[in-house]
Amino acid sequence: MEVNPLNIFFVKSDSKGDRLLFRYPYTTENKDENKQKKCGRHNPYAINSTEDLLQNSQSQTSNICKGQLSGFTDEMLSTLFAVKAELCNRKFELKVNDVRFVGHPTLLPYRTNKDDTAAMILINIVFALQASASHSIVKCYYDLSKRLGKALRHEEKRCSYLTEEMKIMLAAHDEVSALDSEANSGENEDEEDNSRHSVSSTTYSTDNGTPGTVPKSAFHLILQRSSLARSMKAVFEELSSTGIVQVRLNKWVLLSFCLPHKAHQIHNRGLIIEPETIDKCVQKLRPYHGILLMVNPNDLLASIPLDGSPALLRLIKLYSPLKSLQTLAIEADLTLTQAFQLTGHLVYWAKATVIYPLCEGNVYVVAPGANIHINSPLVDEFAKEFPGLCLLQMLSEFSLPAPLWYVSRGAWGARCGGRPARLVAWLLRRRLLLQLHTYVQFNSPHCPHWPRPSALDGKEYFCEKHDSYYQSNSVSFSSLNQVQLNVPEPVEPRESSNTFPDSDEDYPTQNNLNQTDFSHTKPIVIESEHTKYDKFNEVDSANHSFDDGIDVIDGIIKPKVNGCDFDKTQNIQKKAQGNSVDSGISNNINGNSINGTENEHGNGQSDAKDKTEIKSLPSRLSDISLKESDIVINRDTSSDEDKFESDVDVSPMLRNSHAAINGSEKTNGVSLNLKLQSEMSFQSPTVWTAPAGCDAIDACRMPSDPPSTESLLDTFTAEERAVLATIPASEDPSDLLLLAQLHKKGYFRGEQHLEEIMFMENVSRSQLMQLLDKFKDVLITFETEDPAVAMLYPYY
Amino acid sequence: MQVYLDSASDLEHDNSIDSKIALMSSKIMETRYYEGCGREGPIRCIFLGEFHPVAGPKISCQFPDDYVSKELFDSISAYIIPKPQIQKCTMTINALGHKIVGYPIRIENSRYERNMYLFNLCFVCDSWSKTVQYEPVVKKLGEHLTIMEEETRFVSSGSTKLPTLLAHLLHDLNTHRKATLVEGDTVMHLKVLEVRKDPIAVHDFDVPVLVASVGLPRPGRPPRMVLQEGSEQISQEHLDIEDEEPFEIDMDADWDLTTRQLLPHINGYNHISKLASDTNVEKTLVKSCIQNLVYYGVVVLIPVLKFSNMYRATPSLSRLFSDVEMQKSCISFLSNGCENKEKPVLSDILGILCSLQQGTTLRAVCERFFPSPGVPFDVRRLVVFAQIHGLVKCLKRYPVYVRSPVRPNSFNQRVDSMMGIRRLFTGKHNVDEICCLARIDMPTLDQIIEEDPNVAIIWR
Repeated sequence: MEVNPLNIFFVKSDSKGDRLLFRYPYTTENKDENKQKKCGRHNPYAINSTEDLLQNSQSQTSNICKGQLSGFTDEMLSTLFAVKAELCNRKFELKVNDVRFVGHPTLLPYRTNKDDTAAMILINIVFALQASASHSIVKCYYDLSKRLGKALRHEEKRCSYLTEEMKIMLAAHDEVSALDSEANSGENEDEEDNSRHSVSSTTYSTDNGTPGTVPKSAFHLILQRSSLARSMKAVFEELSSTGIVQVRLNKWVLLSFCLPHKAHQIHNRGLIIEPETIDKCVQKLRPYHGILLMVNPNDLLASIPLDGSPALLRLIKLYSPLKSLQTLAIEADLTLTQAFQLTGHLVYWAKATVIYPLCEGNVYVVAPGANIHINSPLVDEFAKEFPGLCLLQMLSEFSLPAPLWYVSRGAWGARCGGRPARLVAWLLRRRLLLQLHTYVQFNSPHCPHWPRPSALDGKEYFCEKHDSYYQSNSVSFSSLNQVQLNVPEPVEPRESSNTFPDSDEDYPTQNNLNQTDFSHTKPIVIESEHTKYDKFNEVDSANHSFDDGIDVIDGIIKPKVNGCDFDKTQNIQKKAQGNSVDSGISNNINGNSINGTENEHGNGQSDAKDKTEIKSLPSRLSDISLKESDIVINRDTSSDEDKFESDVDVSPMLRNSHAAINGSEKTNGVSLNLKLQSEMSFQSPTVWTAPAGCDAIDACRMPSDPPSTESLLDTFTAEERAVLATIPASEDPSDLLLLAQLHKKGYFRGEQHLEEIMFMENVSRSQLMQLLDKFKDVLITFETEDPAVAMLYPYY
Repeated sequence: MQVYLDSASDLEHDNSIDSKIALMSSKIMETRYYEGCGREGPIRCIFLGEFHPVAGPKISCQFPDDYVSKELFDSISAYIIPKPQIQKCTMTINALGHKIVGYPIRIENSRYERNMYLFNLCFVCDSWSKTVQYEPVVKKLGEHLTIMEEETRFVSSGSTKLPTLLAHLLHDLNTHRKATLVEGDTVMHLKVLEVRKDPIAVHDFDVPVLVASVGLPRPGRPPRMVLQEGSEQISQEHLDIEDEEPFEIDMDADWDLTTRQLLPHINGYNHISKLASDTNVEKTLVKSCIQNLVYYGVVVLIPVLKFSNMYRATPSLSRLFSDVEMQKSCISFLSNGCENKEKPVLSDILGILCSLQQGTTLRAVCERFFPSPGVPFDVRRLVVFAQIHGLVKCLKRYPVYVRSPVRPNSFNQRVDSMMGIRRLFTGKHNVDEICCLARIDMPTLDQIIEEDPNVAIIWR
């Protein structure tokens, strides 16, 4: 195992020179080497091959012999590790043949024995590793060496711990070398040189022929006498066994260290997880992910030191594999970012893994790296944990993907007490199961150009709800905005506004601004759009921001709206969910969807006007647009905050589309006017930068040539629309709308799974499944793992 | 058996690719280099350190001059000229932003002032770079210099040829990755060999596919970056050869006999056993030949294509949706196979790939998509393509013997063979493996599995 350390060394260098004070393990190979030499000499038939003329073949290529370091005398090592002052307090990395030494030479003030004058001493705690060990392993060992150095410096400063321990070690060395020289005098003249180099590590055992001497090495003595040596031994042994080091130096400084490459093997043999992987995983975490503890939560709580973070304690106390991180964060009163970081922390220490919260609809299959050997210890463990069940049989039931509720209806469902969660958790902990998710791809059979070469990554805009993502998003959005929006002016204020802090006080004034703007624009608006506009106003009427005069029109439209049950329910759901989550998030959600619907308006209109070759669709679309606007109404009246937000968000988009349309059909003066308006109104969305940016992106994604492009159905190409028109399901405007909405947001590109869409868009699974079924001609699905989760599996 | 590929042409190819990549802005390049990035870097400097009888360790010659400062050398001299006990081992010290590979040498001879001469020819690289590949070169140089020193005192006499020699060496190794030095009677051929990961074991049932056959983009590579304006050519960085860069394969090149015999038979469907029998080459020989090709990235191994196989999409399948280059190469790969007039339609391809789900065999998919005999393209090629690019993965079937009361079996005449086979049902071997080991065909095995109630099937 290249993860394990080969050896640990403790070297000091001061005014009296350098010395290898301690090493572990110290059972040395010198004896063997000597023996081999002797054997060689005694063998009369051996060819003495020292005179190889072509190549001096004595050169050694390996310093590892049976998993132990070999070929270095202690003196050699101490000269190598006693570095020059220039190399102190930084990484020390030396590779000799196939052994890599890594350490952090620490320079520290130190009190000499006699007087109290401070001198500097260099200590270096070096780990010997196999050279093939990866860089991240080396980095971890370096970190450990650094921490040990720091702890020793602290203890030296506090109570001269190092001085005392070094005194003990030096004394032991002297004692043994004194014994040695006694024993050695007279015999073995020729080997004296050799033994002087390696005296401290030579164990004099029975075959040495001197019955009087005690068979011991200096290191053995040191181990008995010095607590520091014992700590180092503990460090080495814990590293080799579990990878988790919990050592209290001098019964005072607690040194906790985890070598994740090793620690994950406690639970899963052969699973090597690098810290870099964990970092990547944390970056990919989404609020809907959950955690699964590898150990009993109570044990974990008990093992956390007293000064552990209270946030972590709260998280663990509230832990359940059924909860998502978002739920956990809310319950434990943490921010989402905090919850993510704590998750990363738990994963690093091999206390948890990332899962999608357990639920009955989850689809599991046997993981690619699962150990399915019939004699593996897991089989017995499983039988003990779940009497009456057989692991292999269980796995064979998971061989074909099916939702959990379906699988658990089988033979074992009854036997595990109808609670498959515990069983699945057990299997997931051992990485025997892997969850599959369904990804959707829009694939219309007759259009060759559906994959639009877009520079955007779909991932950039689906996460805008979460505060933690705001920053990165805003960057990308801003860059995009400028390129592709038809009305470039308004974009800039939005960009700059991204940096504004959230301040609710700003609303009213800005709303007023909108209002005034609006009154200006009203007369200019084209007739056909007038109605829509009016609807809008009506929506806002509760808000006092828009004119009341248009109520009549609304009155006409309203009944239609209400007639649409689907929309209503959706709306209600959204409200409910939005409320359960913290309000900021819910706001944004609504903002998003509303924007989408608004785009729909423009689209429908433009389509109708343009009289494109598709004749069946436009009329329907206009229907949709009407209904959708009513949804907006419903939403807006739901809560005051929502209203505000939607107003603010909606109007710019609407105006944008107006502007675009007008630009094509009306005079410049009008569009200018609109621009001005929108410019002003754009000031307001400061708080909801992300949704705004999102729209901008979506708008950008559409082909830019026709001026009326910022409409929802334009996310489909003409061919796609033609195909859609042939599908019976598109007769139902609500379905078509949902499809268009989701497609526009890029969910149908095979990059987000259903659960993500459900979470992000607040739609229910059944809704999505219905949609998939209705549009199965253009939506193809495939099932695969969630990369963020699968990352923590072996052989991924 | 070791096959050395003629890599001169490959190198040119690599360079052309690299120069394309090097067009990316230097910012991207910068971020690619960090300690532990695992990339190779150029040699920045070569110097000869020696132990001067009066001055102690010093640099007697270096190129380029003053790259390694006096201070730097002093602080690390313990590793350049180590204690006499340590010699003839490759030592790499990574300190102060430099990574120095050396091979310290001691020559004992009474003609030297201290009866011994210590020297070390070292390569200096950036601290982020990987330097394993230089170790054999440094070692060989050291050994040769030892001989030259012993014969002509070439090193210790402070020869004037040494600086030019080092300059030569640096230039040739950095640009051509090989160098030939002629000094007196000694000729040195040096070559920097790329150190790759150990190749995986090759089994009887593995199927090799030529990587080059699928064209660009290379399997396992991220999509190519969009070129950015204002990109400058990076001076020396282009030497940095992409890891695991597959070699362009030339069928007429000077291959060894086995490879030459095997190459025409590698088509993505023939497994090792079949290759061996088709070419009449010993199986172990075929295996080691293929393993060698795997090492150099010429071929990749995929499981045998059977219509009873199940495949499952991987997250990278979504790349095919968005990567136009990959779509093109997919279509051209498919239309290469059959001389069909019309090209396959992309949406069909995607439909088939997406329907390759766990739980649906390839046969079922084919029946669904090609109900009529007029098949627009070869599905097998599609599956091979998708596997090479990691878009789908093949699921393997593991029969496991579940310990439960043995029930009397009606087929007594086959008991022996069944008992023998059942020993393989441990979860370690998949059905392909078992077929190869037990030398039975798949239907027989299927029947055995089906008839035995104690055997469960795990797809993984």
